[in-house]
Amino acid sequence: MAQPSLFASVIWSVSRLTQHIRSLLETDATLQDVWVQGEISNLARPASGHVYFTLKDAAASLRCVIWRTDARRLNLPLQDGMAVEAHGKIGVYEPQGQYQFYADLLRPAGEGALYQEFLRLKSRLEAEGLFDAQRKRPIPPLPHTIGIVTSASGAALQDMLNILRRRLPLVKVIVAPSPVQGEEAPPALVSALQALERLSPDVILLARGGGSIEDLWAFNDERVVRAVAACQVPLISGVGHETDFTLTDFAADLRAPTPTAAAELACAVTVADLTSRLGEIKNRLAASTLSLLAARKSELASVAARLRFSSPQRRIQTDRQRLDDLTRRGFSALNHRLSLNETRLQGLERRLQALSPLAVLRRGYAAVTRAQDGALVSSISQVQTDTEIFVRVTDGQFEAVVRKHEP
Amino acid sequence: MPKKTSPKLIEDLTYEEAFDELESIVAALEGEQATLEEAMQLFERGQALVKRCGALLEQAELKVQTLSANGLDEFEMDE
Repeated sequence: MAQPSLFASVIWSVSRLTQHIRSLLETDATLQDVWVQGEISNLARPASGHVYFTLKDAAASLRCVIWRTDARRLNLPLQDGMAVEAHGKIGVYEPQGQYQFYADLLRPAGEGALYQEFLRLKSRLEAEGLFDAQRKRPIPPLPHTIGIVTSASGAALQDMLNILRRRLPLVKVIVAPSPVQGEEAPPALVSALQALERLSPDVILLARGGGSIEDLWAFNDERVVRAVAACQVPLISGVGHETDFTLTDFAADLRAPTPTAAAELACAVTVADLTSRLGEIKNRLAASTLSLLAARKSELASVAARLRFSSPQRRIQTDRQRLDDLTRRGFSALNHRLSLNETRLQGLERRLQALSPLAVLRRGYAAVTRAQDGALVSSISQVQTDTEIFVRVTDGQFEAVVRKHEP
Repeated sequence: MPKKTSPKLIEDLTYEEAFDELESIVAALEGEQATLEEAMQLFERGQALVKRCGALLEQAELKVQTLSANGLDEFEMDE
């Protein structure tokens, strides 16, 4: 008969055994990343901010905890009896020896199916090229008319109008109201969009405030997404909260995280920008006019200078100067001529002296003239015996008579 | 010279029209090609345009209309 051994080699403490169980559960990959579906009961939200409840179905129940940080991210109002899908992991709470489910995500049951449908439609439209980046058009920075498709009664519209009023009150807004949730929403959104499109605003905002994923579902409707993609006017989609993505966001030219952000993106340029730009151009107007006046003035100065340059006064001065110049050149030519003549004269004088009979006389020659008529005797035929003559030598003359004449 | 001086009265110009004309006037003045008389006319027109733009910015009030089956209606605040 099998009996437990009284003297087991190892006796575990409760803590140790619980730790062992814990490590078994918490190292199991399946139990650490699992979606579980059930109905909420025993919901408790103590002041700590953590959320406690039990998920159950017909045959079993599971203790669940949502830590405060995860609980804050829930945008799903929880209540007993609600059917949900929860994502999380199994852990062990050692003090009470309980295994429990630590949930980090929660969604209404059936949402998984919606999400699958969302993904299917998204990939189909993506394959068709509806979301292509090159289809995106720039949003005009300073629109004249902004069209808005949203619910006429929603807070989103007021928020958007407030933003536009504050940032760019110059703009004209045309609201095309449409229900934004429920069965009638998709066709109504499409026809509002198309009616607005016919008025050719500069940009269209398609917007809806936050809500559950079912509330936003019209913006995942294929008809609406196609109308957005086909829209002739640049379109900004601002649906739900920051974390919500709808297919209209992908089809739009620009996705805004919220309706308020959509309004901000629609007026990149604000009145403050325009005011400062106007101040700038006002300064440029004054500066350019002044500078143009200065330019005309300097032109005038330059023409005046040219006028002075070509005035008769200047001509007279020039002529006077030219006259001086000519006079100077005349004198100079004259001087030159004079000194030339002088030189020539000196030459002649020297030649004259060389030829002078007196010079010959100095060398011992004598000049003989006839006393009776003073004729120079250069031939024997001019004299006869007894002809009286004068003999001139270098330092005087004396009288003589031809004594013997022998031709 | 600005390519086109709008024949419209300044009071009828939209902000964009007035600002565009203002820009072309300043460009013409900055080109320094204008005659003195043209320059003074441009400057005066420019000043009037600055005034018009300033007034439009100051007095701007968001105009909101609602598109219905009957056409455009003035927007009624749904409080």
